[in-house]
Amino acid sequence: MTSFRNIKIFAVLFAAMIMVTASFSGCRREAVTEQEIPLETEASEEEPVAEETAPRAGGTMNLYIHEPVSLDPPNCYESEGIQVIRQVWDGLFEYDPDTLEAKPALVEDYDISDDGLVYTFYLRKGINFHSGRELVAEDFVYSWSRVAAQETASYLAYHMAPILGFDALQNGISDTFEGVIALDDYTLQVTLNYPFADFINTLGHVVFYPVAREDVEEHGDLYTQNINGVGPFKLVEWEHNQHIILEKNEDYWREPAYLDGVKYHIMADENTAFLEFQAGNLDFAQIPVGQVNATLADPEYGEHAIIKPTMMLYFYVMNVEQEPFRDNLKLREAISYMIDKENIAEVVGEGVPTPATGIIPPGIPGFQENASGITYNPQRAAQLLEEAGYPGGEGLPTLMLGYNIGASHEIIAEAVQADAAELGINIEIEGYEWGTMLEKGQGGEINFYRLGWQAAYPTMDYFLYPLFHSESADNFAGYSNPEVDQLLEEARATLDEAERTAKYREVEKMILNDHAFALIYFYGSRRIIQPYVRDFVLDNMESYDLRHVWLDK
Amino acid sequence: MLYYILRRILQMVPVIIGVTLILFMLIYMIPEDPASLILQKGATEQALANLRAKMGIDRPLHIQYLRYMGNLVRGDLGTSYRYRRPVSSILADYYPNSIRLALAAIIIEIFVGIITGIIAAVKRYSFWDTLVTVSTTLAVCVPVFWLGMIFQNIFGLRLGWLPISGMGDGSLRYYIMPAFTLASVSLAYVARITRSSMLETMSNDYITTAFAKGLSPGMVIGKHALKNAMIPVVTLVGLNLGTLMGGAVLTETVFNWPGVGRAIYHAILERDTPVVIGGTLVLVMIFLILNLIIDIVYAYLDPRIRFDRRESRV
Amino acid sequence: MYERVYKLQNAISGEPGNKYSRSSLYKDAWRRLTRNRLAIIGLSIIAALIFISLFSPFLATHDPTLRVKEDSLKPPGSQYWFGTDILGRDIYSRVIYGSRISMLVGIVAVGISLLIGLGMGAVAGYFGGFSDALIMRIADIFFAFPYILGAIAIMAVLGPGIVNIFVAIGILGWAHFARLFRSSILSIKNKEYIEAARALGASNFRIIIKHIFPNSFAPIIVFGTMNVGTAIIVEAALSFLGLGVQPPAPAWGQMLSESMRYINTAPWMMFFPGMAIVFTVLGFVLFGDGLRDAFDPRMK
Repeated sequence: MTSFRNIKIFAVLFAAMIMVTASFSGCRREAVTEQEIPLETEASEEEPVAEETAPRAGGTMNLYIHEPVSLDPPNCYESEGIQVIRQVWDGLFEYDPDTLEAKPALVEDYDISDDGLVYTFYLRKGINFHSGRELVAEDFVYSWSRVAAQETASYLAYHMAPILGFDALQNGISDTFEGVIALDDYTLQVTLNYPFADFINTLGHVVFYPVAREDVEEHGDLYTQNINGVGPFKLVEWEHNQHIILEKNEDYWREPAYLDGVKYHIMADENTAFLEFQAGNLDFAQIPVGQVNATLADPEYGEHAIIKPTMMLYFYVMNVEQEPFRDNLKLREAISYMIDKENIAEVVGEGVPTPATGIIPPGIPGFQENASGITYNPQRAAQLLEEAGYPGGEGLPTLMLGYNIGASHEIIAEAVQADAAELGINIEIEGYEWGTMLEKGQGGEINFYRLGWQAAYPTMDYFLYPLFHSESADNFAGYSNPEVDQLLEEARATLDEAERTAKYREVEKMILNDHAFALIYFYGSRRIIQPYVRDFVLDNMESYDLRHVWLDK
Repeated sequence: MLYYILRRILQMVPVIIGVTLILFMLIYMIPEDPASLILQKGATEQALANLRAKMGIDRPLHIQYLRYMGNLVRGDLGTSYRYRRPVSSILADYYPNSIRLALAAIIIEIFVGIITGIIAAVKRYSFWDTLVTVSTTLAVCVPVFWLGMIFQNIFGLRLGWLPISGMGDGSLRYYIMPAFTLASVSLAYVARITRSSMLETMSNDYITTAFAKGLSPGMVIGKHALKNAMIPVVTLVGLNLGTLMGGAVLTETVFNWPGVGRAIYHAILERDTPVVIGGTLVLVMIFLILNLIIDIVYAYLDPRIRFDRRESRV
Repeated sequence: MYERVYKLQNAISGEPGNKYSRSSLYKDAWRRLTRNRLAIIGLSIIAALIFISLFSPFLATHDPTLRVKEDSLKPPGSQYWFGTDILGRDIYSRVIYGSRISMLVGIVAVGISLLIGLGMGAVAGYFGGFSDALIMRIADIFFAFPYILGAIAIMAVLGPGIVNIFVAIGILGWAHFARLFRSSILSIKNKEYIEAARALGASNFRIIIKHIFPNSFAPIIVFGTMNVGTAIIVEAALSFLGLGVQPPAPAWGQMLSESMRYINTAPWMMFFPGMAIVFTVLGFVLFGDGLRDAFDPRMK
């Protein structure tokens, strides 16, 4: 008797569930991602209004970030910490937000020896740490030695590798940095291992920021929450997983910031942050995945969205030392032409990324438009496949495509798999943990897998030398081309900017012709600011300088 | 009594050793090493060796294990590979969020679960009884993450009543959806067990006697039946506090809740061994201690239970 | 997940129901089972699922992995009954094929738990003494261990893949079976007919297989049936976290995980695979409930 009624109620409940869920599946149809998104929606970048009204001082800016791994320069290896300490420090050099060229900041002037090995930096005088002590050349000697020292085991030490004496510090043989010498309080002399013309361009990186020895000695491991810099803002407190508060440095060596303070709200989730943004509690946030198109169409916020490419490349490595890619340029080329990058960027990526047109992303000085010239072209791919000896994919063994789990990489891999199937190429996709994949890739166990490469500083070298020099530890494709090696070394030693750029451009094209990578896309930012935030410039490294920002409210 | 508690605490030791040992071996079996995971770029052999030395993973497994246990005895859970902060301070960030969410879920369980269970038992075979039975059966079958997504879609996106995810400023409305999601399964069990336990109690002679003496139904149920019927319910709810924390990974993932389950999950993916082991160990300890407390409460509620008779129960 | 397993056992109560003689127990149980409509519904759902997974190629309307670029995120309609996903694959066909993965995982994983659990439980219960203490302490460890985190850790070690899921769920689930079986054995070990068998010179193995096992079958089959539902949910959860079967195999949990990004643009993506999981688990839970009631009528 009861079971009879049970059945009825079951039926009613089920019907109700179905109706509830079905009722909302019908009502939101327009959001299918089809419209073209203009990529230069950077209306918010330079507000023309800003010219008319004079900047107003005061106020606190509220920003959203994830919990940073660290704020200590040697370990500050991810975007979150970098965002914060860029406000707390200045480097010897800094990047122009528009062109990303390195400009002197803490240095007044510098010399480079004719052989390109010895750099002499003349520091500005009267620059003080937030603690009040003056910054001297010895602080750089201490800080850089600390980064390179074995016991620090810094995540970022490799940035110091070009400097003479780095290896001795890393190996623990020495405890002084041979190539870094303070000639006097305001003169720093750096000697390199080999001529490296981009050295200046690397010096804007956070790992080169000067820390004060007495602070590190006082706080030890907890220095990360007691940082003391020389920049426009100073750290007030870092309440883990809650917030980071900065306040204006009145004693700043340049014009002090307009803002009185900065509050970073640490949130685990971009959806929450975006809701807070919409409620007006945040001035800067990230547009959540899936809501980009809707936000761009929004009359209130649409023009304040910042959608622009960042300096990061998404690609598939094809290990040229292994079958079937070995000595098979046509096959690799076929795969390059086979992938519908445009569809991936547009549909899967919601138009935030841009299909990769080369190895070096836009925004890096020297970037060349359409370096590869490869767009989706299945006919061409089929023809190349035939020329490679596999007409219609016949005779080609199944390719194993690896990707790391998470962040929708599997959807992209599935799309590529489907592209391949249309040509008769069999691809099986396989998910790995990130570290497992890297290890298997470097051990040669997998020879076709997904990687991303992000620039730490805006140089062409960063995308070419580590990835393609035959001696480099990060040469994932096992790529080896003596001509490329030679040209890369030459470029590094070329002090003349224009000449150097020309060389790197040539190398990029040479490498592209060898198709060691199947390029997918350049990552993009999907950020948003409130309409009253003025003079906020997000550069292509997803970084910004809050010194000039003011609030028009 | 004191002797009993001491014995139980001593019995926890092999469990803790076992759990740490299993975790250590599991993580040791992972083919990659955490150093190469962190050092993705410029990973020269020297840099890797330095990092391994810093992490203490350059030693053989048994040395690592003994060193870890040695530190553990001194109350030191080690230092996170990734954050380079003491594990205890990282866990201190996440545990309060997890405990709060678990408590919110428990409150929902107690109120909704017990009350519906009592109604179902008292009004046996009525429409309400059937509704409770049916909906609790259904609730058991819905994967929590899917339920969470449906809540998000309806109450967060379509209706806009509640925040979609995260804990925001920590105000109550951020708790509602995740707590209900987390409670959903246990809620169903609490209601079921309350119902069957009430039914069993009410069929006892002393309840019949109480009714026969002319006591009001409210009095009989409230005073006599409830106390005895609550024994299995207390067990269930009590144990839940522990499992709701470790088992909340999915709820925390769907709602981006900064809790300990998700922290451990991410630490597993990031091979942040000290956080994985430390976090899990604390979960296990909570589970064991709650177990002990429940047994004590159990004895209080039912004096017939003596402390030496506990083989068949978990 | 963990609480589910734990409480199921609680709800069932660990008592073996051998108050009656064996044949009449099973006969009575069968009679009660067939009269329980909910159990019959559960059984029908399970039968339907077996049918669907066996005949997926005939029931599906599309190739479950075929991408149709133009048809990305199409809502349900006459061409695509359940709509399409971001790559323009037919969700209906994916749900149909997904039943194979879920059924396989449910049955094989629980089979593994059952085998390990019965073996350990038999040793512990029958021989007692040190082996009993050791096995039960190991079981304690498995009980105290947060279940889903354990599954995540094992999958992280082994890597994604269906066989690894069998192993992970199988290994984590044995302790309950072991306890259940052990307590059954303890309660009948000293019964006259066992003593008699022993006196007649039957080997230990034979006694366990011939006499003890059939008599403690009821609670184990009940728990096992319900556990299949649990295993299916755990598999979905692991797939949801990216640690399940390899795409493009259409696992329901994996489909749900993908759908999260499109929760506001394509809600059908999360609706249908979710419903599939609910129905499947419901089938096993109803049938398990029915079995329990049939074997142990006092519970109702």
